[in-house]
Amino acid sequence: MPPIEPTDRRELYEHFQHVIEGTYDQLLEEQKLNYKQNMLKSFLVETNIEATTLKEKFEYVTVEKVDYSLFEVLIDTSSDEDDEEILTFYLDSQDERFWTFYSIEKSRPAKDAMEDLIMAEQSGLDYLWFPAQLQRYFTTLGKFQGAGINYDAEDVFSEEYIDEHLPFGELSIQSSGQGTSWLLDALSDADLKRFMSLSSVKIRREVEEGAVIERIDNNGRITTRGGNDIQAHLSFVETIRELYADLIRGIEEESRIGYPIREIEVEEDERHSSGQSIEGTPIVINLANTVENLKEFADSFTSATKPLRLWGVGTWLADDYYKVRGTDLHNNDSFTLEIKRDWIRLYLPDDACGNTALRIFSNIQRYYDAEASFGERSNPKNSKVGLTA
Amino acid sequence: MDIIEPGIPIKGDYIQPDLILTAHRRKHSLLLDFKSYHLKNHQNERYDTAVQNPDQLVLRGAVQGVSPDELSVDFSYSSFGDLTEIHDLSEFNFTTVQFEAHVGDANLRIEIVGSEEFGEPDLDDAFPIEVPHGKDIPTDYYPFDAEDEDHTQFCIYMLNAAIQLAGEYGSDPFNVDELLAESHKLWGSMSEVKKKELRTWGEKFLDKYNKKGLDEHLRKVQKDDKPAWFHKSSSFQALRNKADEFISDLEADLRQKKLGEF
Repeated sequence: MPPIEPTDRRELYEHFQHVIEGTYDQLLEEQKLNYKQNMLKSFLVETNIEATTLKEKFEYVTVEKVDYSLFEVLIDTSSDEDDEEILTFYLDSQDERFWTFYSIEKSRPAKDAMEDLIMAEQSGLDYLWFPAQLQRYFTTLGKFQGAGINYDAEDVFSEEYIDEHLPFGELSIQSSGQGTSWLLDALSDADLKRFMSLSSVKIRREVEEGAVIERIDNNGRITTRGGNDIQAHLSFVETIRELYADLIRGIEEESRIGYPIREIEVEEDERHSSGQSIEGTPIVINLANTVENLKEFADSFTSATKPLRLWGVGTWLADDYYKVRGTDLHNNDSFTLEIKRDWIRLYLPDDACGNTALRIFSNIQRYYDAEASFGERSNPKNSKVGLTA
Repeated sequence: MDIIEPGIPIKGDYIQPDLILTAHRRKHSLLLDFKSYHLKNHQNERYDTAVQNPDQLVLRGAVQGVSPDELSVDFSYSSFGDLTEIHDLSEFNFTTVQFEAHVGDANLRIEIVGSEEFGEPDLDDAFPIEVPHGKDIPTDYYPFDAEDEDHTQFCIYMLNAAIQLAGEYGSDPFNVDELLAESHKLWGSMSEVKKKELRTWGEKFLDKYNKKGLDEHLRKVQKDDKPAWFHKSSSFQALRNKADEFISDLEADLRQKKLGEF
């Protein structure tokens, strides 16, 4: 096996190639992995900082350059309760907006280390938040092999709210193999569909020379469960990133509210700023699951806690019309929500990050209403994936 | 929405409508001036000049995307009261539209009052406009005004602006104008009279904010001999609970007294 300390991209990818092949053979032969023979995980992360500033922001992080826009990132997790360990990630920051962290560390510690990094206050980092419509689209990118459904109202809503207004606090289903499609179809026909939010999908993707089996989680983590071609994995990660970037670009171009200053000519050769125009429209999210208690619903989503990290204060505009003005603690952007029983309006300022919209939308799907959809006018154009119902 | 509160010189006079709405497909602009009950005669004359010289709106940069030769313009006063009962506008060829909240099945009704019609027939056909219950009007484009009933929204926007600026400025203090500019995206275009009123609100808000125990989050200091604030660390969850209490107390206060006593 090539050295674990690569000096360039080629060496890193050669190493991953052997990891994938070993994993694949091992899984086929024994249906389990040897100790230290972990699967390759790629974490797509949205960012507005420079890679080299990671070590300034986090004292437990070390960053060393390996190759063009490729860094070795060491995360010291020794303050955690379990094993004292330094975890190794490789960060590809070639795309300035969407980074990829690669890791062959054990799944749980790697996932926790990424969460600590991303969820830290003012981290400048965010997960990718895949809406259900995008997750369903992923199943068309290869041969559909499995799905995970996770509905975790307990993470967001109080016990009292769940008791009074929701049928489940938690619902989890994992399925793989050919019966998965049938199961999803059967469940989709039932009332249960409002609580069936896809948390992961598994597909087999074939390329000319080989194949990879990929599990895509709804927060941007892609785990190679087997295969024989690292290039197939790299191109798949790129495909996912581009699909998501298109959605974000669409939202940022069409669904933010700007107040540009208009220049008015006062004298022939003299211009003054005077008057402002308003451009853009809010995003409308339609709910299939009507909201029974607007204030509790809104307060739960804006209580500054993980996973949303949104801070806000609300007021009643009318008996059935609630408004929250808030701040996204990930990036300091402001937002406003207007909430009725069956729709939500989301206002983002023109300098806001479109990721805020997808974080709110995909979490509403995951924690409250799997069938939530964008209104027709909010649907990002020029994207392969629509977010309407 | 084309433009808010532009100041435009037309043929030697100066107009400042509250709003210009432009239908680019129709090459038609509607100038609106929101009034309570006071109209000044010279305003009528000036708006009449604007209607007679629509090309000036394009040439001065107030309307974009339409050729000056092709633009047509209507002007209308707009009010929650019936201006036609008080003022005779028959000398001028413009009309008034009246807003009425909670009429029958409508959450908001907007209709033409008086006998005059718009110059653009399709515009006439659009009235009356009824916003049904369930399709409540968006409130965030213009989040608050210097009216007592907007005071709760004002405080909520200021609270969030304080959190944003605290994150952005770190230990550098910021003043009330910077908070207002962050809270209201039209702050830069507001009249000095309105700015002064909101600045007074802002100073009172920050003093009350600190008295209510939110000083764990912001600390008052002096900057350029004026009061300013800077960020102190605090748990956002704890701050949320205090902010909720603050707004709840404020709403109770406002039910009992006018803002002037706040």
